[in-house]
Amino acid sequence: MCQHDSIPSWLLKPAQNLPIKSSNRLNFLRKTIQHISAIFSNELYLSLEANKAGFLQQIDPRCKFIVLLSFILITNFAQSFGLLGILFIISCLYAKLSKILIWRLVKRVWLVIPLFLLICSIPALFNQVVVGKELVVVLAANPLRSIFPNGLYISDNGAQTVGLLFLRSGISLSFAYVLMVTTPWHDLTKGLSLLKVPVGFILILEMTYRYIFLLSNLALQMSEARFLRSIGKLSHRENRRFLGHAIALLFIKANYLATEIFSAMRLRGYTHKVVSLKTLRLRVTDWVFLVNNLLILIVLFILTRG
Amino acid sequence: MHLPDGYLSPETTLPALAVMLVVWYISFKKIQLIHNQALIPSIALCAAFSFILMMFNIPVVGGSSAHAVGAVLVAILVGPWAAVLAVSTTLIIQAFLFGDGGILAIGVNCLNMAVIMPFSGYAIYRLISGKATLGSKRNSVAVFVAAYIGINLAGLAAGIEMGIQPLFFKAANGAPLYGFYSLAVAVPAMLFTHSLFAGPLEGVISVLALGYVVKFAPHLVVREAQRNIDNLNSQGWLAKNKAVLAVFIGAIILSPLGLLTSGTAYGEWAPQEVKQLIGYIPAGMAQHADKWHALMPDYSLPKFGAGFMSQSMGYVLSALVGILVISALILLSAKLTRRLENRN
Repeated sequence: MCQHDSIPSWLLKPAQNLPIKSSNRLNFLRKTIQHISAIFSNELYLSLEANKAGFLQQIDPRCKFIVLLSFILITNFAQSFGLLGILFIISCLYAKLSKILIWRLVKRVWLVIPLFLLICSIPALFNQVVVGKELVVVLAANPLRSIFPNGLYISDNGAQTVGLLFLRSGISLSFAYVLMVTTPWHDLTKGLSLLKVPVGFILILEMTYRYIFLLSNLALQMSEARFLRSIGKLSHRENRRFLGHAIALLFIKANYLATEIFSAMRLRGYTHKVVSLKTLRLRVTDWVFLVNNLLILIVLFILTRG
Repeated sequence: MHLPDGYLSPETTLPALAVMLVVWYISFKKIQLIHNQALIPSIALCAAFSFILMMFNIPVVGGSSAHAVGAVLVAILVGPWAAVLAVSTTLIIQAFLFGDGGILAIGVNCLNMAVIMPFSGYAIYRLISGKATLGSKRNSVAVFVAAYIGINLAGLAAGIEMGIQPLFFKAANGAPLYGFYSLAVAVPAMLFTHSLFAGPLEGVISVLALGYVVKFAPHLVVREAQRNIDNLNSQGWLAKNKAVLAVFIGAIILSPLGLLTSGTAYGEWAPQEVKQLIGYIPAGMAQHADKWHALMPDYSLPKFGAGFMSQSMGYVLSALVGILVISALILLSAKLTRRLENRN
């Protein structure tokens, strides 16, 4: 049936590009799409960094895992600025040697969670939360004033606490970042299996990692399809309904895939054993790295005790 | 709720990691016993599912958006033990690949979001849902309440973990070494955001998602529900009520936390405290105050002295006695009601 006559007039008008307001009701869809896309770009970034010919990229993943985890552990036990300073320099040194740009380290590590923690910690700088000696006085003590009769100042203890917290979280994350950026995921799981982590668990980790990309793709398509088909304002109720259904649909598809994949695995001779094409063997450089860092860690450990 | 490294002391994160190793081992054994290896791809997909679920932004009031955790939903769909492994895997991958949540803090984060949340949520779901059919009104209410309380309990646990830091870990000069917000700040802050925003979101999304699965792929949930019912029928009383007992025992163990708070619960003031608060003791209260002498005054046993350990012991014992008395009263009233109904 011909419908030319019944085309609404607004459809015949030329398109108008209206600026998208931040309070747009479809904002949540855009955010979802952004978050999911970030997974893909993160993977691309990690694989690019892991393929660089840097120092830590050449080291056996087991050694790297043990050494960097020990550094994270000692960072968490550290209670002095001196020790944290040394650990900070070590983290930067390893990043530099592994051809990771320092500004990247700053941008992706220090400016994210540590900065957020720092902002959340601002109240702790003041004597109202952590008492101590006056460092910077904002309001002098005045017993007649109804608020802050003892004065408001940045206390030395407060500054110390916030500083330690900021450095500790930043340095821990830097070591974790250096580890994840220089080790491809399959090498990390391979290293874990050689460290006697149960095979079943490694299998779950390995499969999850792959499924994440598969389901991400699915979720991305669903969100984009919805985003492109939506015009105007939709009620919150309608949007929530869409999300609930999208999540459930994802589960149903995932479940269907799981049974299909397991049957396919069985048919191809799956015997619950992990087989990797790459064999890991410790070389001289790995031993040197391990012994070297062990010495550093012992010195640092003595420093924490002292 | 993803706690980073450096905010909690290793004395908190390492024991939590040790506890998680045991929990992972048990859940692995359970999964192998119940479902054999066939569940491994399903768990991996559930983990990936829970990962993506955290990526979904949900519109909240005022044009902003937040994300759900979905641990209770996963527990209802595949069982709580599988949920432990699925959500833990997600948290591990987030820590190692995205720097979301600390590496040493994996234990603490898993304890909150992969154990406390799915188990408490699942127990509440079973308790409220009973034998109601899937998708019924009672079942939906059960899913909502379970998801709401589950995420709030996880938030509460995170608040407690943060709040105990300044109590136990201080430098020689008294400055806190790790987190500095006390229980009185951390717990209300976490509960405020979770009860007002994250909780309702989690509840609504769980109800909608489960409703959709029940409508379009009922076999997925029915199979699980049937298996659970079969398991329940073949188990003894202890096994049937394990989840409820665990919540009670947890509450008893956590009860000494009450000692750490400085004030009295709202409305539970002793006459002297009322005088401090409002300046005088209401006449009625003074008249009746001496008529009741508690068996265990101030939740302690007179013989035990006043140290923290003995006070804690007293607290635990008082909690135990209290729960026994309350349970006895409830059971008694239920029995009476039933007898009356039978007579009619």
